[in-house]
Amino acid sequence: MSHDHHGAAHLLGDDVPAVLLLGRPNAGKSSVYNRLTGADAKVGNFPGVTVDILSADLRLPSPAPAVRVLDLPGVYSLDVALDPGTDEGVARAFLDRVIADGTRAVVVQVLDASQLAAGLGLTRELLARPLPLLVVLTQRDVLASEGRALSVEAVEAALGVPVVAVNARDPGSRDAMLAAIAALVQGAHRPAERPAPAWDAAALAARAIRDADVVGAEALRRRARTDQLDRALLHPVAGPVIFLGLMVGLFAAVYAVADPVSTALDAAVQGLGGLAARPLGRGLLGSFVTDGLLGGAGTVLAFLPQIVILTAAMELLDASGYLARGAFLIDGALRPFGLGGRAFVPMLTAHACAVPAIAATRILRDPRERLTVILVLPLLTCSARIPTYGLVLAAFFSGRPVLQAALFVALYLAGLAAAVLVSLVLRRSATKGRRLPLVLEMPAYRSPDLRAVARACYVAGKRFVRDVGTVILVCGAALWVLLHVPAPGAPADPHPTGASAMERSVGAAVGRALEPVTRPLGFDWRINVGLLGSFGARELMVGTLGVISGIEDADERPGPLATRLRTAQDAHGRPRYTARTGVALLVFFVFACQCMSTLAAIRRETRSWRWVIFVTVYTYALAWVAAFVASRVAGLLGLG
Amino acid sequence: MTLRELTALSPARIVALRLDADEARWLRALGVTEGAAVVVLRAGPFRGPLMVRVGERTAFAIDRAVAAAIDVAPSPPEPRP
Repeated sequence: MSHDHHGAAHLLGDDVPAVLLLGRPNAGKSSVYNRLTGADAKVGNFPGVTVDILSADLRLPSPAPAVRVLDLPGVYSLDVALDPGTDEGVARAFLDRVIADGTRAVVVQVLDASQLAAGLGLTRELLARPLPLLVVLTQRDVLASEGRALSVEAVEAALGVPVVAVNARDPGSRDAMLAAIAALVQGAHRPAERPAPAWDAAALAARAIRDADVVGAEALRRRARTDQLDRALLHPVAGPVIFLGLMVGLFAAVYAVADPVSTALDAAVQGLGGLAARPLGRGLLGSFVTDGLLGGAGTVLAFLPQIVILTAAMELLDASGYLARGAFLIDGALRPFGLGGRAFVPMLTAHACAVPAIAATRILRDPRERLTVILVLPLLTCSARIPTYGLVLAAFFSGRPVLQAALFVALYLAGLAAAVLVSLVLRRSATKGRRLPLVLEMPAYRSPDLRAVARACYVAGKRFVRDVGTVILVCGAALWVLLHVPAPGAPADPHPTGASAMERSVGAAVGRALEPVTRPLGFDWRINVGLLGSFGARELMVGTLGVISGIEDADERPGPLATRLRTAQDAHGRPRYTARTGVALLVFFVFACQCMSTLAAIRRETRSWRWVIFVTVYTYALAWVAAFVASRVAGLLGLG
Repeated sequence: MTLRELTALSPARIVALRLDADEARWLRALGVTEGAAVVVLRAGPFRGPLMVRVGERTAFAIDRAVAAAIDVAPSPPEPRP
């Protein structure tokens, strides 16, 4: 995998000096960024890559010029060889580019003072780079609460560059940082070769941080807090149970929100549709606006709350320090499948949406493991499948709530099982190779900075609307056109109705052409059209079936879609669909990668069409075979 | 002896990293380096990684295979002040 970084020019152009925030993961960089830029900062994205490099223009105390602050992903080291596709690789490529281009820039290293010795390794590497450097020591309040005193002067004297100590949540810290940055920018010439550092990190840390004169009982308790929490949260028995409970709770929250929000938005969209229909009429234009556009927009918005909830949960888990514990707890269980503990972060995210999950694979250091995870993420049950699962379960298993719930859980587990099993197969074939074993910092527990969490939710929501929303809208509109334009060569319609027009549409013709492939699964052209529509985005399945059946029996039986599916009859008066069809459709939906946004994200992340084709072919083949088997088994069990 | 063989909660110091050059450099950048004090705190479930405190305040999850390639020497018990 390789990544070009033409986007750097975009973020760095127009001669505004750049302030690059760099630091180890967990050093408090996001808090410093938020404190510096304030909530009203303009948020920019690093184009071409999904990981965000946030940027904001910032006014400095006069006479210093305005600057552009860039929040780079966390890095441990600038000198160690690593895969350019990881977070660290992105940050380093950016820095290299700035140096190579001679861009006017200064570096602010954000360093967790409570981990001073560890962070000074990166300082040593930054001192060897030809850029002005400011070191911002964070977590001064944590040190103080633990009864330790920090000597900024000792650090400054040893490093030979300006150092400020801040508490990122203290408003006064902002002025101190702004003044230091202004001084650095105004004197910003490339520093001459600095002498090789003469200090030893551990010795300097020991000199700079000493016990306060009086260390109270409360301070001693605080020092032991992380250890105490770990004893409970990482307990051999209780630890995994708590972890599992948290994950189940998270899914429950996402699902609990998904349902009422979708229902409410449906109602809102229908209301808007009614309003729009009045001036536009029930003609083609009215139908296009209400069914094609409004329906699509409602679908996009219905998924936004889930993305935000999951992002908030992930950010809270991450900022509190628990996410790393989750990776520690799950590593042993994932290892037999060729994955490691870090893989659990993207795999969890994928249960909301595979698109942000694919971006989240950047935390994986091992390129082969990362590729494997990217390839299996589409199998995990994203929230876009939920409406279809709900519809099919309601249509064919109504009045059996226990069976419905069991099937629902089984569908989730089937996705998870498929993902780890396919990963096992891939790690022995396509992505074979040595695995980089887990080495992961376990940060101290912290109370999360809610402003940083809110910012992350905003960025994730915006990215979802941009990446997935536009695809849904375009596909929804395209589908509407396909279902309303008559196929070339279709016989003239003596008594045109909505239903007969649709039967003659291009969409219906394509659906019929696919019937030989899908007949063994029990799918007719109508379901095929739904599947075609949901190739763009799964969200479109329910809407498409609604449009088809809605238009077909517009005058006869309004009634809910589930009832219409169940009671639909063919020309001979037999039920058109049975519970067997339902089972096959559910199973098909578990495995098929019906999502152009996911494929686009895979293309973006792997820089290769090969893996896009690979995912498309293997998931559809798996979906067809599994749906066929499920349909046969359902038949043997006496369903339909 | 290796970090993997070290008894939980007994202090030691890292003597050598027997890993390939890139991997050793990566560990040193993290702070897992020769001379650092280490204590194994616990092991992860399902034969998972070891949780190791390195230095005074930083903790890492370290895969058992990596731990087996880190040589350590037990530290003598510190005299009580």
